[in-house]
Amino acid sequence: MKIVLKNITVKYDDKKVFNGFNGYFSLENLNVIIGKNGVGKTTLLDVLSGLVKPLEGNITGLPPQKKIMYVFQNTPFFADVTVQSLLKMYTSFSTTEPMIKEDPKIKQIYHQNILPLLSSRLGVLSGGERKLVFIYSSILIDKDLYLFDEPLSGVDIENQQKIVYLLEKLSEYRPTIVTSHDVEEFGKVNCIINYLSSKQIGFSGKYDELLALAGNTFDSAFVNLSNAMRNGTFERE
Amino acid sequence: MFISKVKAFTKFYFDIAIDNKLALIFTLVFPVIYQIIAERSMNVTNEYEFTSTIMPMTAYIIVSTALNGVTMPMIATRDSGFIKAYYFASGSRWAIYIANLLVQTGIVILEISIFTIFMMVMYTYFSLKIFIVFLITTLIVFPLISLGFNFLLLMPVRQTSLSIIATALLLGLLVLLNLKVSGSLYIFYLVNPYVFIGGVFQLFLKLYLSKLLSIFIVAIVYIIVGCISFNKFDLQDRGRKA
Repeated sequence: MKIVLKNITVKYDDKKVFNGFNGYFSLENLNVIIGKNGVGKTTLLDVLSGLVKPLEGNITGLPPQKKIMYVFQNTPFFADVTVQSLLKMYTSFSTTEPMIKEDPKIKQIYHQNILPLLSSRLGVLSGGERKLVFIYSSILIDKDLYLFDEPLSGVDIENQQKIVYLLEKLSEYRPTIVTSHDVEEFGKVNCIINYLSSKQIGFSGKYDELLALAGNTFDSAFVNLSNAMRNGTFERE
Repeated sequence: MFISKVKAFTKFYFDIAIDNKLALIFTLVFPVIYQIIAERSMNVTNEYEFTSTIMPMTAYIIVSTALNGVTMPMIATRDSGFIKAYYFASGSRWAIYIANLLVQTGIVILEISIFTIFMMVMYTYFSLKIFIVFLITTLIVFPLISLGFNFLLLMPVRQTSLSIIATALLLGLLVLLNLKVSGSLYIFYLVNPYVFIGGVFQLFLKLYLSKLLSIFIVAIVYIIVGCISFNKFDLQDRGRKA
């Protein structure tokens, strides 16, 4: 199963973010999109979700917009709403019980991390707690494609691990694509790293393959890959 | 399924409305003060005098709540990213809209009830029939007028301009109510929400077939404009518009 983007062009304020972009996502694994600031990671998710219509090109393999769950980097919230109210609202949006809810590890995360917060208002939670709550809430709704924009931004290491676990588990049930600057935690789970440029997905493979190809650490691999893409000395196999 | 989404969002908006009691009070302040200052000396002895005295401000409350309770918050919550976030969660933009509309309908019914009772006490004119007719009129016109204002959702308006536009519309449409128009301009007179409210109210007191037809046509216009506008409403917040 694949999502294929052909010749995609998107502009923001007369600046072309994507100019004849071609790429694809194999959806058997968790897909993590990385790339330089401003390269268009969020825009790509906006395009996949249908929020932004490309000026040119077409995309195949996408479900209808109503069957896409898109969790934004900063999900707006009303401070006085409790976690329990939010969960109840999200649960009511789904006609079917998502199978992931029965996963033992997901249940453990619920009991250890979500249950103690049920009576808390969203406004008093820390940023990391709120992100965990929103991501957990989103997996309660049965959709055909899940998109997460920077799910680890502003989150401490402990909560990052929980969120990454949630996303990896989710990808076993449903296609899941995330964008992230924080990649080390994703390197510990089964996922595909996709390096994004304005024209293509420059690299697509496992975290270990990225290090083997471009550097000993993620930071050096990222810099080396960016330079190679800029100089045109790197081509995807 | 759609009903359960509407129910979920209705509870959401209701909780927010309960926290925002100031908006309810504020909507009533201007009409009450206006009536006290401008119309207190009016001698009200019958149904016609009472309804014609308080109708403009009653209509103002309905139009104000439609604009400030439904349309403007839709734009503001779009710009904050709320609409798109909860659209993707629920899969339905209409569930979000209808939920807010239901809550605001409850609020405007409460406002009209308070205002009408206050005016009856002020003018010492009491009529259960008139009270009920005002409530039924509100129940019918409010959703339609809210839909009619949906054309504003398509305008490239910045959040900072919202209050200016709302005030200009509220007062401007009220001023236009008293302008005598004829010919092709008469259609613009008919779609004025203040005229629409007055027309529906009068139908409940006395049924005129010609008036019924024009009210029905205006209602259809509001519905068509409202539905098309909301379906075309861009959910992307302005900070990320392509």
